Amino acid sequence: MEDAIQLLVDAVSVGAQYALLALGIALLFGIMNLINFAYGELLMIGGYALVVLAGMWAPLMVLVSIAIVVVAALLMDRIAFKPVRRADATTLLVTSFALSYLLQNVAIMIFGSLPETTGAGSGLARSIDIAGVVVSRLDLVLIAVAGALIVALVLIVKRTALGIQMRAAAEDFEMARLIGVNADRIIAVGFAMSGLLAGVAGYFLVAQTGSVSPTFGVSAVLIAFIATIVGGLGSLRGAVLAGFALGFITIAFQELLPAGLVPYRDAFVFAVVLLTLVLRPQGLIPQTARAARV
Amino acid sequence: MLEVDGLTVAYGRVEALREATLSVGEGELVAVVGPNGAGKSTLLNTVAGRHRPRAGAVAFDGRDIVGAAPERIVGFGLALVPEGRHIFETLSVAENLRLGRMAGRGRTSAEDVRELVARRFPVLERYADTPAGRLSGGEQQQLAIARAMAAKPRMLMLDEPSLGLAPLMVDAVFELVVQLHAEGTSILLVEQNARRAVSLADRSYVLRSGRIVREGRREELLEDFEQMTSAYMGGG
Repeated sequence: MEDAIQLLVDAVSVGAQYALLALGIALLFGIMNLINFAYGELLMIGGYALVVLAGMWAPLMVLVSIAIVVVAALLMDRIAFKPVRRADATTLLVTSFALSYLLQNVAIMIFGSLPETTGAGSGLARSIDIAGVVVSRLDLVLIAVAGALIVALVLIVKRTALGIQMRAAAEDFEMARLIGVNADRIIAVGFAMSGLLAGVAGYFLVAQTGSVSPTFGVSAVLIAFIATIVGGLGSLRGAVLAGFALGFITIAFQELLPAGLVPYRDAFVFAVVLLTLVLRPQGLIPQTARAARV
Repeated sequence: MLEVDGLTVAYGRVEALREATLSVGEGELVAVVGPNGAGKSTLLNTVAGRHRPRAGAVAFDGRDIVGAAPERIVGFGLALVPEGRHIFETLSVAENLRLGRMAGRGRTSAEDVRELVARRFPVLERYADTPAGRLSGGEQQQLAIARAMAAKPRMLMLDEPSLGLAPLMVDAVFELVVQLHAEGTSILLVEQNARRAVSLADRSYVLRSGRIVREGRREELLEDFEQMTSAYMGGG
């Protein structure tokens, strides 16, 4: 029983992490058809920010690092993506690849290609014992923070004036402008939210691995991208759902596979992803209204 | 109120609009008619800020609006209901209207919009929480116009509002245009349904191959409608 609960906590924790990552990608795709592969470098920037800020009072350090990532995301929009905003999705995609490599190489120039270790998040490393169930504090904090962020984001998108404008822009950007939605502002908000998610997810990644390298964000963004596709490109609910599903499947294979096959866990996860896409090519929650534009 | 002077718009090397000059006065209903591809939509889209003209001037309320972003132009009180309606299908009817109200930057309250809908768009009332994509074509067209009117624009531009609607809905949409005009909204109406548009409008322009080939008051144009028919049917 305790084992099952521990596994469940693991699965929810991994799933929450994936959901945060996927939301950051899905948000921008929804608004401006951009699959931002440089999202991984936002995670990396957050990671190095924690390295540089080491020694600061931990909560403040986390907040400052997240703020740095948000600013980096806004700069990405302003410098790299704004000039090509009217171009087609392919141009945006290639731009994001270029930006991703550029930032990785800048990181190599500044920090070198070897991982930098950091104690950020070590305060969360201890496990706690709740009625015989041993769970890590990191997992619990991650689940609580990710849950709160996801709920807040959903409420903003569903209920607020800003959220209505974002959904309108996601469905028909040109028409949204004709009805007064400020294009620069709504895209900047999208980048800022995406940066916030990357900042938080980046912190938890650093806390889990204890080190940062220039390619720190690459595998995370791949998972996020897969979750976004499986969820149905552009669907925020789909991204969250698929993020959690990927987390559960990953932990399930981790536990259920015979010991000799565990190193190939991700191959099994991706096989499930492939199967899902064969059965539901539009993703779990298809975005019918936008299909023609993609 | 709206002054378009020598407007030339090109897509690449093809000129879709050539030195078009027209005006819409305060409270006036003006129609622009002409065959498919004559440049009618280009005219409205350029005035609304979606295309940058190659030459010419557009002034709204004496203010030069060439090159202004679409979201700024609608903020000035000049609203476009584009061809094909473009309502937000995944948003509810109420959310579509709320977006329209936001475009008015405080000119209208939620109460004003409720009253507008009750008075002019009663079919929409019972659909408040329905995704707009589920409405019929005619209802969607009414929503598109209601959304624009929710901002209380000083002038409304309608691009082919009757296109693709059942005959009864066409009547309803034209009736709506007449009512909005009667209430004092300045309207620039673009239509392929030439005879109908001309008979509603105070004045009309005939556009052919990107040029304005005829202009006149309702009586003048209806009188020689036969010639006008040949002007817009013939040649192309």
